[in-house]
Amino acid sequence: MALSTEYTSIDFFRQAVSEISQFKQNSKIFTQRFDLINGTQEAVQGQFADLVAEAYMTDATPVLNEVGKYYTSGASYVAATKRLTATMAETGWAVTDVGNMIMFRDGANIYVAEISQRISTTVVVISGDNLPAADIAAVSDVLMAATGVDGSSPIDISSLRMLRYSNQLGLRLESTATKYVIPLDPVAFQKFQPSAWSNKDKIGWMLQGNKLLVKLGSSLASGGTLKLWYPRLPYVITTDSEYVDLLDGAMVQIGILVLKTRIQKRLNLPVQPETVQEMQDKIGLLYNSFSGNIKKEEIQSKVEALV
Amino acid sequence: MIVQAAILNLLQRIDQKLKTGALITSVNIATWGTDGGDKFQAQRIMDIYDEARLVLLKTIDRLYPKDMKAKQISGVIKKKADLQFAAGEATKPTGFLVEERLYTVAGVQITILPVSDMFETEDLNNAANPIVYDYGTKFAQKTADTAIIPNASTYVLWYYGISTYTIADVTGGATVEEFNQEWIPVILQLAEAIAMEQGSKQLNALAEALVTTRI
Repeated sequence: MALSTEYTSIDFFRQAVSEISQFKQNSKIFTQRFDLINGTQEAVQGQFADLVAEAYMTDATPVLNEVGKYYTSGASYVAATKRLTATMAETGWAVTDVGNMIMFRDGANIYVAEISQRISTTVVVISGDNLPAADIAAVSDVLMAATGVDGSSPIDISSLRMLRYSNQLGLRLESTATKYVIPLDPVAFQKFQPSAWSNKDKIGWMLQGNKLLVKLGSSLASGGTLKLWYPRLPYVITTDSEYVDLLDGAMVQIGILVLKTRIQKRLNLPVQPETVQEMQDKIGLLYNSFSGNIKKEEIQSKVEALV
Repeated sequence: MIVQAAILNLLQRIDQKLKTGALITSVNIATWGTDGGDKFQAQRIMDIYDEARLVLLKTIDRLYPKDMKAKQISGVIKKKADLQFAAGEATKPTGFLVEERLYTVAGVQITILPVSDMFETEDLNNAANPIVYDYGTKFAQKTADTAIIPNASTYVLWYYGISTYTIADVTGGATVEEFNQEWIPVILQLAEAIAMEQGSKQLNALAEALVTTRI
């Protein structure tokens, strides 16, 4: 549900154009209003993420891949593209397999790699050291572990519309298997030993690119049901009746001013000094309403970024 | 003001008498309608008058801010609540000049754009954001899509448009001029300029000068 309860997208747009006499209803700007509003929402949220991220928190249930896969037939390898083709048992390659460790055999040569990209149910791209230099027409065995080379389980979260404004500490991961779910930085994650006495009941995790990497303590039989709390991007507006996804009050007022300036730019009109001044006042008000402080120079730089 | 009074006013300026030498008044206006005046045929006077009105409307549309325009020439704003779309196309009403707003019976705006905007907007056309293009005598979708604009005769169009007056509107004595009263002197001045064979450049300059002084 969108954050505003007062402004539908058409109300929001009307407010922005109300003082622009050059605006015409029958214009391409009107037909582009949803794009303009969506861009405004993301720009405003991004500038004030430090204040408002909590308001956008939402949850997802990432599924931990806890079983491996093995090949059944038709395996081959192309050295130039590092593409491994194999028909794997059950479902074939899945997007969630990206990051997992893979082993395959060519005669007495055994190779270890990581899946870096899933192309189709039968084809993946792999990466790693000492991979075959020549093509292999018939790969003997292909085995995929449920974890990466470092023992972590990668979870693909590329489908989540996540606000990526600082580090993963803005995120929270919960599990039904343990209360000890610890966010780690990359160095600490690398050093996290699942079998260490202090770690065996814990889940350590970190965000890397579009993957959530998870290491399970050795006493945990499974990761349980995971719940990831993350600040989402604003909902995408596609109709006039949807409410804008900005907090009512100063934030939505800033949004109206930003949208106004964007429309003025498209009409080749100058941005009026009073609009800039009003935006500065609203930004100060927004920080006040969150009991925060902001320096004049920071306000200025935010206005410049938005306008 | 009724059209007859406006035409009589114009005739006083450019063609005061009948061919018989009698002054043209409301009493002998029917004779004027049949025989014309000393200098101009009645139909020529009507053409001049209607052309002056058209020049005035186009000048106001070009120069006035939208809110002022709607107030100043509210008389020429028309509403058609039964505009018909069939296979993504609707025919403009008679006398149509400039669109103001087009929407479905449910109130969803259908944006009317010039064809020159097609490239930038064609992918935005959907049921929540229907778009038609203005070409020829029609408003039409780029490609007919009745899922976006269903066939119906219930679309509502608000537009600026002027009626073309006939001699019967003058001799009948009941037809009311659509332009607000304050614009009648401007129409007469423009009509006089047309009658004096002023070219379009001079005519447009005069119209612009007359309209600008009223903004």
